[in-house]
Amino acid sequence: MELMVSYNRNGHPASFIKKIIADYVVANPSPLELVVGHSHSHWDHVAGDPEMRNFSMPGVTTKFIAPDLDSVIKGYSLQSWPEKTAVLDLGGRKLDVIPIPGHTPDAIVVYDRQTGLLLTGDSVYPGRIYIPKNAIAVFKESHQRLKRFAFDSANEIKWILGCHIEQKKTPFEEYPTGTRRQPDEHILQLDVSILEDMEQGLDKLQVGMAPGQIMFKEFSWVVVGENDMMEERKHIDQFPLFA
Amino acid sequence: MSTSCKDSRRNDQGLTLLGVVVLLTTLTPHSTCARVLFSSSTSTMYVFWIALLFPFLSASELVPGVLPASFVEPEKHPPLWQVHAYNNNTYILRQSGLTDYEKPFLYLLFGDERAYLFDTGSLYVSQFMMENGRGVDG
Repeated sequence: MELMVSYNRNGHPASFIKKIIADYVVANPSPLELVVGHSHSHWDHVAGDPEMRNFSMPGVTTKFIAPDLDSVIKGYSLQSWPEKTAVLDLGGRKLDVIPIPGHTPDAIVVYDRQTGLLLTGDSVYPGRIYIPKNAIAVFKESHQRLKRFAFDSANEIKWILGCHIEQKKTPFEEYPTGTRRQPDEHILQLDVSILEDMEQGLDKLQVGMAPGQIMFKEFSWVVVGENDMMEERKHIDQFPLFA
Repeated sequence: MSTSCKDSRRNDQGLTLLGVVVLLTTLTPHSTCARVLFSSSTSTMYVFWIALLFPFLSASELVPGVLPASFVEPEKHPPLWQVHAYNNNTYILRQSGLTDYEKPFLYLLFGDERAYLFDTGSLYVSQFMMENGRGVDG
């Protein structure tokens, strides 16, 4: 067990982030502030926080926005959560931060005005969109706000990029939870029209409905009990952990 | 310092194209190019000017980038993180299934003064709780 823990710490991204920044700074030598934020607070998005919270390297300072609602609101200076968006200015590159509570109370989407990429975390991606059953109404409101933003002619969306892939290339098919290797997985990117497809299925989500999964062509909704997302999933070992 | 205002890129491309055409017509006033663009036949002239300006007027303002055909990792000895440069200031990282089945994606975006990291990766929840003494939502 101890061996596994220490091995899995290798999954933390700090050393990879450091390498990318080091290469970038060689080509663009000027002081840099690294802002560390999160799509939301679930365990599979924050595991590298202990290292990234105190991340340091020459010429780089770090601003860490902790993955909880208060810190998110303060960190991005969001006003009237969740109604209004905020701008994070990277210097010649502006990001819009869009509150999208539902999957978790602190979830955000980030739009990059420079590339048109919309980073949607676990709220839109080719896979299982988990919604706690007590957050269905909130999720619906968030989806409407996101759709208004994405279809505003001022915001050209190149691609929607989520944080996982669980769907297969074959429509309506998915890899089960716990799958390590997915040779036939859906591509990462989704067209902005996926938000329309999702909206058409919104009426299938009813407040008070029983937990369960509704499969669509490129994603599915999984309505779960409030605390079900905390439980550890069993791995389907398709190749050895210590390869 | 790189110029990363998204508008400047479109204008640069459009102006370069215009510059080349104007230069051509100036240098070779009797060429086919010059005769068409400044011809006495109004309709022909309009058609060619519109064709010439179309890419400039309709071009997306967005800075382009490239996504890989797939993020499926190699079966043998996959790296712990796949790092993909979407362009020279936008990076996509994907965690290997070796370290966690969730295999999440992270994003790292660079501006002139700040960089932004979106998410920090995954490991088994029991191990995360063990190391941090807290659950999913804190």
